[in-house]
Amino acid sequence: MQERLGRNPWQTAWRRLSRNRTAVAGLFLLAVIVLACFSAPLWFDYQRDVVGVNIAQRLRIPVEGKPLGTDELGRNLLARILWGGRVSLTIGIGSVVLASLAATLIGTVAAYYGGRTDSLLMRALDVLLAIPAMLLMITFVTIMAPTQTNLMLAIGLSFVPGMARLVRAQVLSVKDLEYVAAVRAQGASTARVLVAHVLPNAIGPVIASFVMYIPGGIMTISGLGFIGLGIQPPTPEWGAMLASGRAYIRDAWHITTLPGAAIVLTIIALTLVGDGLRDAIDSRMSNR
Amino acid sequence: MTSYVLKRLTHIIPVLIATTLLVFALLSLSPSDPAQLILGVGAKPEELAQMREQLGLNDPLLVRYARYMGGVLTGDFGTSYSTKRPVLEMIGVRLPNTLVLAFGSLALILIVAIPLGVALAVRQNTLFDNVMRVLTLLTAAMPSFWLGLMLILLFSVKLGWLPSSGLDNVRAAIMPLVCLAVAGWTVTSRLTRASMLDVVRQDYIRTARAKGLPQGVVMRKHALRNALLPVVTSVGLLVGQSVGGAVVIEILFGINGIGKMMVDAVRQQDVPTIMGGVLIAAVVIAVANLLTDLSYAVIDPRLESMYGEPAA
Repeated sequence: MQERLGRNPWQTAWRRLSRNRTAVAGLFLLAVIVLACFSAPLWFDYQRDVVGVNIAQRLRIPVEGKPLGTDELGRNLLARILWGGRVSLTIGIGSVVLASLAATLIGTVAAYYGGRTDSLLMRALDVLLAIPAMLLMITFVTIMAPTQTNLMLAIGLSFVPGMARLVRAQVLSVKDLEYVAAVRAQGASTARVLVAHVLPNAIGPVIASFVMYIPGGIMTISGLGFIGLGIQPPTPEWGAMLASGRAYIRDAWHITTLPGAAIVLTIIALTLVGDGLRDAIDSRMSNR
Repeated sequence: MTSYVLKRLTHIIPVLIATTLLVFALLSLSPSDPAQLILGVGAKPEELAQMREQLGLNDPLLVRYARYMGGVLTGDFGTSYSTKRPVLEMIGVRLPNTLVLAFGSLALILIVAIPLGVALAVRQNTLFDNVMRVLTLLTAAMPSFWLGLMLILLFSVKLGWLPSSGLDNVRAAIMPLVCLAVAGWTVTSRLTRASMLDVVRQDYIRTARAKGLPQGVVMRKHALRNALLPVVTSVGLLVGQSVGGAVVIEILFGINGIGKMMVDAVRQQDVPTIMGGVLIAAVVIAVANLLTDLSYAVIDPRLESMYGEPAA
């Protein structure tokens, strides 16, 4: 017990996380997926393996040197799945990072200033929340090219309302605590109160919730890819790969099965890590 | 009760105006020139200018929005740039399919998830509870379209039991509806479970048990009715998810619905059709939310007394 007091709360949370077997399994799986996807350029040549067409070898599994077989244009499916993972992971994580920054700003301002500022910001976010994410995405890809950056921004925007509410609730619960009043009485500026004193205590519990948005981002980008409005070919993307495999479902099971299995594994890994993170941080909070 | 209904009705209108104005404003940023889309590439500059004037594209955004909504109220949703047909007519043909998907899957979610959630609550921390937890993790990680592909692979390609496309009969509807319902099953059964566990710890449940009522009656009449309140509240949200999710399912199963119409329209930069699709979706969701609120008042009599006529 004495030893535990010496540790800071984040170390305690990390300790709890590393003791949680399912969370560690998720973390391991996630690490393998991320490493495999981002090291793909070391093993595969983009022009030759990822977009290089080889009609003579199409729709086969297994093929020598291509353990996951070939797609409808004879391209190496393993290389394409790994390359596609770079797109999904980048957009999934990137959109959540961007959204959490915006949501933290909006949620904090709304909660701290309250009154008209609060209700104006929250009503504006309610409008975004009222439109199903998929329809919002359709609206966005009508007005801008479906590049990686644009899709990341659009998906991130759809996360902002939900995240901002979480931050707002947290800041509301912290901002009237005595220590905040004390810091303010010492003459600290509003910015300093918020950044140095309110946010560090308010954000902890919502970080795990933010991580939980990453699977949603990956689902959305692959869904957009599947309906043909996401990342455009020949760049490999999991959803788009499944869509083009749909036509060959009677002849080649592997091109409709394997990219989807990659999505499922990635999302399971992220969910396990997110769950573990939430448990670890929650008990840190209740243990104070 | 009447004042409650009126209050909810007046809540819908600002939401509808705000969402449609937002989408209208976003779509007006579309880089393509509608006049060019209508007249084709061979059009002369004077013709394009005349068409733009005729379409009212030179007016300010709010004027165009007001004109559009005025048209909508009289049944004029504009004309599609690509098919040259009235958007309302295109919607009329496709809306039934989308409604079948959205509300069929909603019914399927509630029919399966509520009893499942109750069973999970009653058998808390048993093998069944744990197996379902793993199953939930798995299904929650599956994109609906991939689950659909796997079902097609099994039931259409391998077994030949179900058709792989369309929505013409009950057999064809099974796979699309299941794909749309799966996400809702996990969410709603977990919600029902948590809500039931919360309710069964209340004093009035102990009272009901203490007066000797059988377990089944306590669960059904006393616990479930109260435990369902949060589930009913989530129905509005589920409808929104089903309407959004239907887009992907319509593409996968080749169903001619609003979602497929909109996806085709994006490729053609057909703004009036996209706007019409979003508008109809927003109306469907708003109406579903309204019905949810109203059924909430029926289930929870406390609300009625809150908004009812004052007693004295």
